[in-house]
Amino acid sequence: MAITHIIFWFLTALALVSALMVLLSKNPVYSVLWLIAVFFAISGHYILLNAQFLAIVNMIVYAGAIMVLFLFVIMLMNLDKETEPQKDIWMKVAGVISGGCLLIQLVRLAKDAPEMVNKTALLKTGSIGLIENLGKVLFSDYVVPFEISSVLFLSAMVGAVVIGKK
Amino acid sequence: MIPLLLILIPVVSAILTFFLKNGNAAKNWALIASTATLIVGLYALCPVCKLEFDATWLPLLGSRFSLSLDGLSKMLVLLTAISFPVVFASTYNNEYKQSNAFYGLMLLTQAGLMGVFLASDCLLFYFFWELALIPVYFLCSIWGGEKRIAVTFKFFVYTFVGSLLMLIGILYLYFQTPDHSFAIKSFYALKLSASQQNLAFWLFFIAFAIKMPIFPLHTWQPDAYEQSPTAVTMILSGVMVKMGIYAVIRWLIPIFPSATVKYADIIIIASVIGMIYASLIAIKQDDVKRLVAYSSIAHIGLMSAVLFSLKTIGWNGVMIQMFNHGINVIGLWIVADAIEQKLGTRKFSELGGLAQKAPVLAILLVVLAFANVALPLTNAFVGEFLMFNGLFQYNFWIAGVAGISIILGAVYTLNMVQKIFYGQTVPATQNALEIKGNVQFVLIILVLVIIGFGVYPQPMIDLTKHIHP
Amino acid sequence: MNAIILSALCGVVMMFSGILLKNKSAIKYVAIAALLVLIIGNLFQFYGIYTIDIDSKGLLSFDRTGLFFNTIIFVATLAYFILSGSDIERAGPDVAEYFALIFFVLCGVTILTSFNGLLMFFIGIEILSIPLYILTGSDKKNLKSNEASLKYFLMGSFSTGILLMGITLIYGATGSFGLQSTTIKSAVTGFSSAGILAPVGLVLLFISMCFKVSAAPFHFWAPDVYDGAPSVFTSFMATIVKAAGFFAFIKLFAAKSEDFGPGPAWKLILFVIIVATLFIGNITAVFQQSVKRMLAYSSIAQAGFMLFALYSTNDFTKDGILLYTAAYSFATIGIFSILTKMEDYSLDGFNGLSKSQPVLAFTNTVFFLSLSGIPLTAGFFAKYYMLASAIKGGGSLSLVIIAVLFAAVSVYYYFKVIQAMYFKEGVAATNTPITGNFKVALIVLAAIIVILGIYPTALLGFYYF
Repeated sequence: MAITHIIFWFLTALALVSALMVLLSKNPVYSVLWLIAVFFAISGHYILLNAQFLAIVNMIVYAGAIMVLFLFVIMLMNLDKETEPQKDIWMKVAGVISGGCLLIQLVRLAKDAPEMVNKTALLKTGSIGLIENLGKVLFSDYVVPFEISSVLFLSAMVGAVVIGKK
Repeated sequence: MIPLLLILIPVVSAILTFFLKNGNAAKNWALIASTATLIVGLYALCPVCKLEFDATWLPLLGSRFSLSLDGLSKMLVLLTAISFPVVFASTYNNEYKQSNAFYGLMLLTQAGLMGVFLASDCLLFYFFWELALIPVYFLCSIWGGEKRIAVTFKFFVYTFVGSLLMLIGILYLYFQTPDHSFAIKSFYALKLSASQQNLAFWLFFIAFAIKMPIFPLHTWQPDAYEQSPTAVTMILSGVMVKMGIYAVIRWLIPIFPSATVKYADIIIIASVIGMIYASLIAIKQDDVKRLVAYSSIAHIGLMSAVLFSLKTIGWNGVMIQMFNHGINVIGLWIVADAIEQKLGTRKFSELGGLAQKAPVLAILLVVLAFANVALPLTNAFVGEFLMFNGLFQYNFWIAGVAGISIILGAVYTLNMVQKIFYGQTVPATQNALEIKGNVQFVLIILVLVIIGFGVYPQPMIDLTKHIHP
Repeated sequence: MNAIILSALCGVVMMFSGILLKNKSAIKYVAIAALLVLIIGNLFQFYGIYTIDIDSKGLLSFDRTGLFFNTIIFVATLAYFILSGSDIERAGPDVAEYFALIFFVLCGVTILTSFNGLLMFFIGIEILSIPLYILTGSDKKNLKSNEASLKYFLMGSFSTGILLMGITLIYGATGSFGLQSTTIKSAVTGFSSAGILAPVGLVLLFISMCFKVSAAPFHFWAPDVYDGAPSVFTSFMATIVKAAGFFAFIKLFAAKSEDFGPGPAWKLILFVIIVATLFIGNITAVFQQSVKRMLAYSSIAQAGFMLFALYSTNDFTKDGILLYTAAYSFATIGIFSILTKMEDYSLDGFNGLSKSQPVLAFTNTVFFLSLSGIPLTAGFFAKYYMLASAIKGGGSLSLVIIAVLFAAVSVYYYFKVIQAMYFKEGVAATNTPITGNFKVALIVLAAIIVILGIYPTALLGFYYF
């Protein structure tokens, strides 16, 4: 077992356990903290895939900025036992069933993984995730969507102004 | 050009009517417009004029704006053309709030009816079929009786469901035609398998059965007739129910010959049950309007039974009877309206001895009543005779049972005449006066038509021979 | 490309107009002028004149259908601005920003009509959605509006997440964002079948789009959001945005139709979804007392009909969705523009409108008749095309019959409004005086609906010739 394998399994286990803990923690603040752990584990996977840029962005944006915001919001909302909404048991059952359906699909996906090795696209070489390549692609092939997404951000900014203004 | 005029005159005059001021202007205008239509309708009877019209409408869909007139259409176009001026003249004294809207909608109804009887393109037919319904919905709901909103809505939903099912049927047939066309010729030329026919047959038939109406789809009818303003009821029972019968003759049976044969028995039995049932209920009625409504169901039931017996002589009878029943029932409604307007009630139990006070009305009603029970020398006799002739050829027992309804018809019709016009005068009729001149005039014309065609029915029989699908 | 760039620019212009113009109604006229420029720019491209031409490296492709759809959407928006512009002014203090956001939504629409790959599709969906979350919550003092906005945002984000996951799986299977079938041979590895990755991805994509167009069982957000949002913006969301969502949905899945495979499974899923959508939309609408909420459910019901275009992809569906968009958008925009003028949104609030405002009552009747699909209105041909496409597809007559029965149910609640306006006594009050211009605009809109109902070639003729 090579070192990459060991790291891979470690990160996978970490991601799965943390994700489960996000759901199982009673305290929402712990949930957020576990979520940060998930993001770190995923970032580790990105590095294993030779996508350092993505890994860093994932860590800075998600684990850093967004999760901190989440924490603030949760702390501001002052959640405690009394205000916790009671969920309908049937709602839970329905959720489990529909979620289970998707899970079955995905498990089957995983089961087929060995034969899928030959059936999934392998994109060029492993260096696709490097900043240099990413930048080249972004400013040549994908320049139109890159520019158009500025409309998205502009509208989000306008929205922030509209909502935030007194 | 003539077929187009028959539709255009009512449409254009209807639109103009909406812009008229309330009051007599709208009345007079509607009367003039409908008389103009009548003149064109009479002109259409001439055997030599060109009676087809064809124009591009929806090239992308394969539908054309094509109208044509054959003997069957002529008969019903004539009925439509006659009934509107008759209705307008006989209800001239009734005052309607917003009378411009009332008369505008009435004329639109006429346009829709004309279109149904003229269209020789199935999509166009469907268009007019619905177009005839919408104005009636507003007419009944605005100017009707107390329960008008619910009752009219029931009527509307019934017919709307039926026509949507028919739309599916039309589309289904459309995709079977090789050239993707809605023309009646393409539909007639279809070679459908038995299972295709059976399915599409019901899609069409339900729509027509609701309109006629055939038992057990008739439940909307008595309420709708009772709650509608009388002018609309006349059109509903005189002309509109003929849409269903017309459609069966024009579209249903020629397109689905084998399915018709297959289901004819079921439909005939349902029709005959409906006849007897409606006649029995009619006997129980205490209200003139409801009585005429149920009597109408009985008559229509007979027509549909004869239609599905598929005998030529019976069919001739049905075609004649469509016209005659329209005339007779409108006459009955005029009398019912005159009584209601004058005395403020329609209940037999509150009426009696009217003949002493209004002898002219009494005489006219007696003729109408005789026509309603199809006595010889009235127009209905010829039609019923031919119809029963056809029905006897089909099945002796069915004809026998159907014959009972004739007897029942005589019972309730004559019972009505007797209760209203003879016997002792009651407080309600104590101070009754003779009906107004315009109503007399209209009724006399109708009675002349009734007796005229009763004595000399040959022109009508000739008309029924000129049917070219 | 014209429309994409111009609509974004128009949005920016509107933002600045808020600073430069102090008069609120002037902003409205700027918006109308900007929209006219947008329409002309789009028509230029429709007739083959590329004023702005950018090489999108195959990520965008402009076809006549998409450009024509843009035109319909822009014209509908124009009608919306003219009829409801004054209501937008009253919706809140940031009028210019609202118009800017609407233009950004239009930018999203133009991307959704021209995407040639999942990447642009995703960006389009997002540009379409984000401004809507804000418009929903623009009535900041109203708790219901806030709730609706948050709910819409959260649910929308989840559905975006599902969408992304679907796109990821498909990308994993094919190695490309392209619209081509996922079973296509990859040039790199030469595999011929994508295995299970692509179907799962497609299911996720499908679910997410069902959410966007509020098809049952993913419709739960729609009534609350439509009801909670300020009525002017509900009008926009329920018509233009929804139609654009459908267009994208159909464009996407028509391209992927080969992946639905030979099995009947996809048809079955769609069958269930259509029936459920029709059922929930129509039956729930029957019980509503508020006209606004009734229209929210009716928009779900109408979505059921539009899904027919997905169920059977043939030459009728393209014309059908174009006509349906025009018929449904025009009618609903008209109804909402009248609704926002009403003092009372309940059914009883419409009692006797025909006496006090005959023009409003009459045009409203035309709009409702169109929604019910009565002949002589555009709605009839819209439904006609949908039914025709399903019947032509064959084997789905049962679905068509079910749909028709639900159409009859829809008549029930649409006609309740007509009954209130015409047959019931009451004094329907409006909250602002009705101007002559507004009436003229309504009559023009109603006339367009009737003309399309008599002669739909008027619309489709542009498209074909």
